[in-house]
Amino acid sequence: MRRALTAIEQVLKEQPPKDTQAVQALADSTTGMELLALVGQEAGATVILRHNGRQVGRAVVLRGTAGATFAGIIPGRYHLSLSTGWNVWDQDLQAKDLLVGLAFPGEPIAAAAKTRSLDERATVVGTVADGALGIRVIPGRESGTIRCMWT
Amino acid sequence: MSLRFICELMVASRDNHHTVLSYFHNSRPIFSTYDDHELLFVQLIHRLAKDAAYDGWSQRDIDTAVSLTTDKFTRFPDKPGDLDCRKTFQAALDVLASKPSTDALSQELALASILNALAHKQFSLSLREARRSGERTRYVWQISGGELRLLLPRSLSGVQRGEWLHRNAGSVDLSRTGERERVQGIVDAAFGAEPVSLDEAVGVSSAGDAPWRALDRVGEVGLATCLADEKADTVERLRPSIRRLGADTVRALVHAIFEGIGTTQYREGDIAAMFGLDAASFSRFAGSRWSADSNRVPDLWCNLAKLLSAKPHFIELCQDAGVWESVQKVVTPRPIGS
Repeated sequence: MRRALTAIEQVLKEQPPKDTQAVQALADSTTGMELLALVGQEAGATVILRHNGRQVGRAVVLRGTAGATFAGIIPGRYHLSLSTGWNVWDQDLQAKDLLVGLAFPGEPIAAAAKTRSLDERATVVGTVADGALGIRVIPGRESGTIRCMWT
Repeated sequence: MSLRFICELMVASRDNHHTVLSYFHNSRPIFSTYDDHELLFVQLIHRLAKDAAYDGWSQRDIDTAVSLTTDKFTRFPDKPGDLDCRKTFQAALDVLASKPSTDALSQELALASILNALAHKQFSLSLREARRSGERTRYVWQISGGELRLLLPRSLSGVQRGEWLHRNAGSVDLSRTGERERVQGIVDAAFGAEPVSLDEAVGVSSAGDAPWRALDRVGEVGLATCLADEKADTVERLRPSIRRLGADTVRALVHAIFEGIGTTQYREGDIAAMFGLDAASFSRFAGSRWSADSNRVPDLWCNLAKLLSAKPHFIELCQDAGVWESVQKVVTPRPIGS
């Protein structure tokens, strides 16, 4: 047991990778995500997404990474809160916010999805939690995506 | 609303504090135990009471501890001098203010962690306070045309109490500042009581007896340093043979143990000799021949297990490392006598 604990200790002391891609790759695995949160003390904030009052997503947002992504967003009222109970975002999302075809009328859907960067495609952009959490709503072909970033 | 804003509202409020307090207690699941997370305050207290019962505390002590802890987090004063839960929230804000300035999200997480630690510590102190109070009763000593309210042991009967105080309390001057504390101090010294000041405890500025304080720094300095510091800070509570080493040596001892256990050359006897400890003392502190099923888990490993089981991140890491079952066995309270 002690040897295993020492191994944990060594893992904990490793510095998190600086490279954004490596961080994101690590964050994609549950263990990696937790580990990052652990190494960078209080680096991870759990966010909970509710659609019309029902929880539809839960993720850990890590500082300095691409953030948490909630896909398959359909029209309705959305609430985003922290696991501490702080309701940070409340937004009514409509089809024009979530579908590329309606968000960019007149522009071929494939072209809009390919040529625009994610930031350019975002239909809702804002910061919440006193500016600490950035939120983007990105339209897709059949549903949208909500992305939260710890800025 | 952020936790910080809620706490600030409560501390500053005069008229609407019950509304804010209810909002906090009904909608903020910021509390946790080693295996339960996102609990409201009332759920945490219920859980701590259950654990205390399992740990062998009497129902009377538990009820008192629940009441004292709940008051600390919910009670507003009816008159000056009454218990005031705003002090608890102010204490949490003070701890937060002592940390480096960060963004609102970091502050939210830090404050949740501080309030959780406060609730745990408060409950633990309240249990001790309840046990202490159970062994003593209040006595109003009529003296010099006035009175002193004191806590005296049950072993002294009514008549004996006055006589004992007259014999031992020295010259009493009720106009002297702190006279009650002076006389109570004489009683405490004579009967070996260990008073616990719940108001002082709220500040969590002193060294804690649980690893909660250490948890704040784990990500920063690692497990070994956290445990070494925790042991050094609470050296007066360690076994006499370890306590004699002093805080700095205890810190070095813990570091030596952690550095040693990762190597193939680790010899307990060598470390014990290096620090002037006999084999039995070292074994009780950090010996390697023990079983997690045993009630005699060495102190250091017991602390380490508690630390590991206090946060979901550690639990997951322990599960991945295949040691979670062992850790759980160490931290799961066993009924007294089992």
